[in-house]
Amino acid sequence: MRFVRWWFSPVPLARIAVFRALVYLFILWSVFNLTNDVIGHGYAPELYRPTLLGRVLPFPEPSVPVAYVLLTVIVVGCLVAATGRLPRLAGWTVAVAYLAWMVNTQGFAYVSHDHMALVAAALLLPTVGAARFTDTRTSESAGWVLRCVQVLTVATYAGSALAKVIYNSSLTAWANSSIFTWAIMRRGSFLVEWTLEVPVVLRLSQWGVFLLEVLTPLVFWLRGRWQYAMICLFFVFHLMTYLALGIHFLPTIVCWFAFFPLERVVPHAQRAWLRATGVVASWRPALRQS
Amino acid sequence: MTSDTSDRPLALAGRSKAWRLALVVAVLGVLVSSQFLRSNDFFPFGSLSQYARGTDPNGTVRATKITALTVDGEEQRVPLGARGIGIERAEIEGQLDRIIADPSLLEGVARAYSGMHPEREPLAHVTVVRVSSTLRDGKPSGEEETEEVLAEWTVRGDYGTHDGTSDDSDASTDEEGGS
Repeated sequence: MRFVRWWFSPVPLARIAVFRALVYLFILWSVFNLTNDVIGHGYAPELYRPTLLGRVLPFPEPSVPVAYVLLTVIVVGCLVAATGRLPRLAGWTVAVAYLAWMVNTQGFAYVSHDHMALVAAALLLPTVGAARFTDTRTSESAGWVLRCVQVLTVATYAGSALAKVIYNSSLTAWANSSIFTWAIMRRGSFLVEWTLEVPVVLRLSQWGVFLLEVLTPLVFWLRGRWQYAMICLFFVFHLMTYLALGIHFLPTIVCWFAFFPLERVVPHAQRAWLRATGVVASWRPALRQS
Repeated sequence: MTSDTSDRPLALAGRSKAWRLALVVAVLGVLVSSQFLRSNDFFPFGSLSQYARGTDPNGTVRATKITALTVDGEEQRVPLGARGIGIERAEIEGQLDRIIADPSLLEGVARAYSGMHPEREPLAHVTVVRVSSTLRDGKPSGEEETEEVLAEWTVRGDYGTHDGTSDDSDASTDEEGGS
C-alpha cells in the first residue's frame, strides 16, 4: 500500500501548471534546435529505419511537407498548452504530433536516449486536465505524472549503467575501457584534447560517471537540500560533457525539474506581471486592476 | 485570485489508479527488457546504449565521413547533422551494412544536400569513407589515420543545375537541363 501511495503522492496543481509550461516551451525550442533533422530527413526517406512505434502506428513516411505540417501543429499546440488552456485537447495534440516527430528523428538507425523522460512527459501531461497556476489544491493524478517523470529521469541514468554492464558482460570493463578517448577522438572539443595524453584522467572520469549513474536512485531517499545538491551534481556533469563533447542532455535536465516545488515561482511571476501591467494601467486610467 | 486551501487532495478513483499502475509496470518492464535485449526498437523505452560499449585501449577508433564530387567536379566534404544535410553521422554509421549492400541509398544524401542547400552545386558522386586511427595504452598511437572507401554512388537524379552565383535569375532553368 505504501508503494501505491508513493506513486500517487499528491502535489499542488500549480506545480503541474508550471512544469507543463516548462515542458511545452522546451519542446517548442527543441524542435527547432535539437531535433530539427526531421526536415532534412524528409529528403532521404530511403534511409528511414522506423522503430516499432513507427512501423505499428499510422505515422506518415518522412517527407518535407509532412515535417512542416508536424512542426506547425507542434508549435501551435505547445503555445496553447503552455498557457494551460484546453489542457486535454492541446496536450493530446502535442503528444501525438511530438511522438510522430520523435519517431522520425530517432528513426534513421540511431536512437539517442536523452529524450526518454521528455517524450513520456508529453504523453502523460494531458491526463491531468485543468490545472491553474494559482491552484494550490493537491491532486493525485498530478502527483502520478510527476512521479513517472521523476522515475524515468532517474531510470535514464540507472538504466544506462545497466546497459553498460550488459553490453560489456562485466561490472568493470566499461569503466576501465577507453570509451572517453574514443569519444574525444571522434568529437572532442579543444578544451579536453589534452586529456588524450593523460588517459588516467579519463579512466577516473569513467569510474566517476559510472558510479554516479549507479547511485542515481538515491535521489529518492534524499530530502530537501541534499536532494537538490545531488540533482545539481547531474547538472554539473552535463555541463562538463557539453564542454567536452558538445553533448548536453537538455531534454533530461528539463525533466529533473519534476523534483522541484515549482509552484513557488508563481507569486514572483505574478508580482512581476502586475508590475508590468501596472505600468500600462497607470497611463490607461480606465483600465482597472482586477 | 482564489485558492481553495482544503487539505484533502483530489483523489483518483480505484480504477484510474489501477490503469496508471499497470502502465507503470508495463513501461518499466519494456525498459528493463530493452536493456537485456540490447534493442532500441521499443523507442522511447529502448536500450540506453549510447556510449555503452567500452572500447579497447589498444583498439581502433573509427569514424565515418561522406565526401562527394559536385556536378562541377569539385571535391566536397558533405556536412552531416541537422544543419548539414539533416542526416547525422551516427545515422549513417547505424546502417552502414545496408548502405554497403545497396549504395543506391546514397541517392538520399545527394537529394538532402540539394534540398537543404539549394544555393550550392548539386552532388554528382557520393563516397562513404571510414577513417581509422589506432590507440596504444589508451592514447592515440600517433600513427597516421587510414582511410577506406566503404561505398560510392553516382547520383542519378537531377537536383537542380545551379550556377552558384546568379540567384533568382531564372528559376525555371532549374527544372530543365540534365538527364
